[in-house]
Amino acid sequence: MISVNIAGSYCLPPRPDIPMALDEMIYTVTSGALRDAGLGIGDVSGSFMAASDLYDGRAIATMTLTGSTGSFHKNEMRVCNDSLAALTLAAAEVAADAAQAVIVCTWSKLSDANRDAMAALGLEPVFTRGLNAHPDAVVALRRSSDLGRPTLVERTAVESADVAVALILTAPSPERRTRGTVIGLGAANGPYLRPGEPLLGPVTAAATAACKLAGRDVTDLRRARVAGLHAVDDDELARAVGVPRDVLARQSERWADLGYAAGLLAVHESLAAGEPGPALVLSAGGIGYENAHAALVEVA
Amino acid sequence: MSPQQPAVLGFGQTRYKTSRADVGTPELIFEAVSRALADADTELTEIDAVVFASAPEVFEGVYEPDRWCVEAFGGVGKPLIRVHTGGATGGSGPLAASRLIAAGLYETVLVVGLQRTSETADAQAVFTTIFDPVYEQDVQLNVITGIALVASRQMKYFGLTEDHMAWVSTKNFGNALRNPYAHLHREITEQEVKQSRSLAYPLRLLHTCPRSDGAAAVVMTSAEKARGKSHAAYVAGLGCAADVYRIGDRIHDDESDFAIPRAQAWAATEAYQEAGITDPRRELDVVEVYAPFANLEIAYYESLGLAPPGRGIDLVETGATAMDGDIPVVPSGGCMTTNPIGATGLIRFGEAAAQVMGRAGDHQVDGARLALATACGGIDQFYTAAVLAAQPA
Amino acid sequence: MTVPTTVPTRIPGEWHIPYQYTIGTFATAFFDALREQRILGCRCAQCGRVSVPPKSFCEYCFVPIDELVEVGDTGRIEAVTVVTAPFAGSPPVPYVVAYVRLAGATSSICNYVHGVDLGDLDRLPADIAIEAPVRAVFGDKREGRVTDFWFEPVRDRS
Repeated sequence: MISVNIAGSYCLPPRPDIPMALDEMIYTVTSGALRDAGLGIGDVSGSFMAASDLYDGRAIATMTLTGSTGSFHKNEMRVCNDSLAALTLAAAEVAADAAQAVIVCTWSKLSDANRDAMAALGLEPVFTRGLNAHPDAVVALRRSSDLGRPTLVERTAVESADVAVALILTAPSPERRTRGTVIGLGAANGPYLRPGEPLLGPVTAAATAACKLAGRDVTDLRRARVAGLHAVDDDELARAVGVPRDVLARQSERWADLGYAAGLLAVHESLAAGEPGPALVLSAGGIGYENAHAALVEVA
Repeated sequence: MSPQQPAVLGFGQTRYKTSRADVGTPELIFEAVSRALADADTELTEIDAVVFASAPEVFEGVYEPDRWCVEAFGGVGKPLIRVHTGGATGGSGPLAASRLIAAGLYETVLVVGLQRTSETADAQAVFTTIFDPVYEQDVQLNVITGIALVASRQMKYFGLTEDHMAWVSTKNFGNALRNPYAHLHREITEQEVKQSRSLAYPLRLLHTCPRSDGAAAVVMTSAEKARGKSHAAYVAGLGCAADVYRIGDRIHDDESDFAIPRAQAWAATEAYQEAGITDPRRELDVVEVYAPFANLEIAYYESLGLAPPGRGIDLVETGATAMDGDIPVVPSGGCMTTNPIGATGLIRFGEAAAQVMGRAGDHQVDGARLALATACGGIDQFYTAAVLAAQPA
Repeated sequence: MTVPTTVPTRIPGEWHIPYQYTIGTFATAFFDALREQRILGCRCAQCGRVSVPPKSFCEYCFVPIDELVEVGDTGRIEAVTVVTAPFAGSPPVPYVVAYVRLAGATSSICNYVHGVDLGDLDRLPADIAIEAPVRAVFGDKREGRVTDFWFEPVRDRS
């Protein structure tokens, strides 16, 4: 069981180009989330973030961004996964009694980067990169294997998207504001580009694990919100998660690439949706959607 | 449910070299993980989650290399998180695993550290992109220049000389000869150190770390589960702290000096507090500090509270940090003889654990019961610290 | 069938990734001011720190900053080194790089130091010792980059 309070949440919603330097974007959401939580920087003891060196154009992206994430003189933890993984480590910090309050933050600024130049770099160099395949084609091949029929992939240009999100997690306390409570977490990683393995296997496994930790059944869910995974249609996803189609919510297809920020944005969207009750949030990153994470939030 | 104390069951590593041309990256990981599982007397099926520690993936040349290598560490179907905090990555890995265990989310966690610095022909070109792209594009710093700046203040204010630095280098190379996994196995003399190629005043080649390929792995679990195993080390204290990025902001003020890295002190203090250590110099038996440069090791003697501020050279002049001194520092040979960046902090952690388990072989410090491991990222910017103990709390 | 022992192969690959870093209004103001031979910092209203170059928020107080200030063109060296081994992106060696705290600033800024006799590389020249006075000197051609200026030792004029 786990029970960690979400005291505040703030985001700069996705736009093609946010006219701020990256550290300014991050500072905006971390300070905004603290304000939303009714807390100051002195109240938190750490900052847990999800960032990609590739997307940010810096090796050790978080090094120059330390101040904006609120990490000065505090614990700083950074993951290279969807931001639900940052949420996981932040929740663990609080649940382990190692912190009373922490920041969780993430961002993506594709308007500064060049997505086409980055797209295929996750393909391993020994057997696969020589094929010069585009990752969308790789996913389409996997889906074809799952569905037992040919699939079509059209290379449409992906609109750039800038986004930043931050949450404040605290130990449960009647004195703290509450937007929701993290009651379940789960994750699973599938094999790398292996045909014959169901594409959504990791998603199902992560969802199941999060519900199990919370002691809830997937039929209890008010909402199952999926971040990204735009190559997969609603029916497939609803089946994989085990929920009816009308419980499923998706992020806008316009923002096809939010980098690692997708998951935490989906949590923010769940908190802001005005739907109290258990909301499952899911993300799956990697070329074949193999790195899946899930968080179950009881929305206040 | 009250927090579980984390414990370490085993440590495995690859033989480090400039370039492990004999293996692909997944195979390198397989080597380290196999050894760790064997050392931990643990089956893959007992692993509940994996934390993967690797620093800029530009080195491996594959984005998200943990996904690619998943089968090499038995991660298929398991929760997988990758951490990356520059040089501190290998310290952040066990820190993340410790919290997952303490929170009761996962019982047994495998931590894997990796870096293949040899895959890219020009590692320095990668390093230059760690700096601020807004203000620092045109005045290129690199890691060596940054640490030379630290040395300039140590020399001006705290009595550091080339003799002190040469002693540290010689000590570490000598220690590495007793570590079969270390990258550099060479006898060197203080004279050779002082005559080695000049890089950035006062730093010379034999004051700095090599670039190594390699992987390491550590199996961690709860103290409760560790009780049933034949050997274990216990995490008695953890600390982590970040400083501001800009070197210009932390050169000196009323409370601190760039020559005595303060974030290292903050992280260590946090770990000492949790472990109940009030006099680290007397209470610690061995220190595996992440110090890739000779002058930095001396600075860290001060940050870690082993010597008063500005008096790190005393430990050199009395030989206190030698293998036969009263506070041996890096009996493994340390970063100066082995540095696969993302894995290096994990090696410090694994070595500290091995010391208190009495399993450090030829570089074992007799009777070691309490050890400190640290890791450092950026230019002395972020730090982790872990105290390992022979007994559970 | 056993794996033949031959020399293992290496497969080439390259990363070419262009970026266009958005720098924000404070950095833009700093670079514009360099063209006019002015060096700008910022002041945090809460703690009073004057940081050079400027930033739009104070990471100590965690508050926004809204004041730009001009700092002086003289200062003292706080950390220094003579680089003798070149690396990717470095100018030809040997060269001097130093952090200098300019008049009115509470932080130091890094730049090259020119006009130093680097004949003997086994010791640090006295005119670039820590605490030595230096002056910021601007070139004739300014492009709005940090290299529009550099430091030079202040010679004793007595």
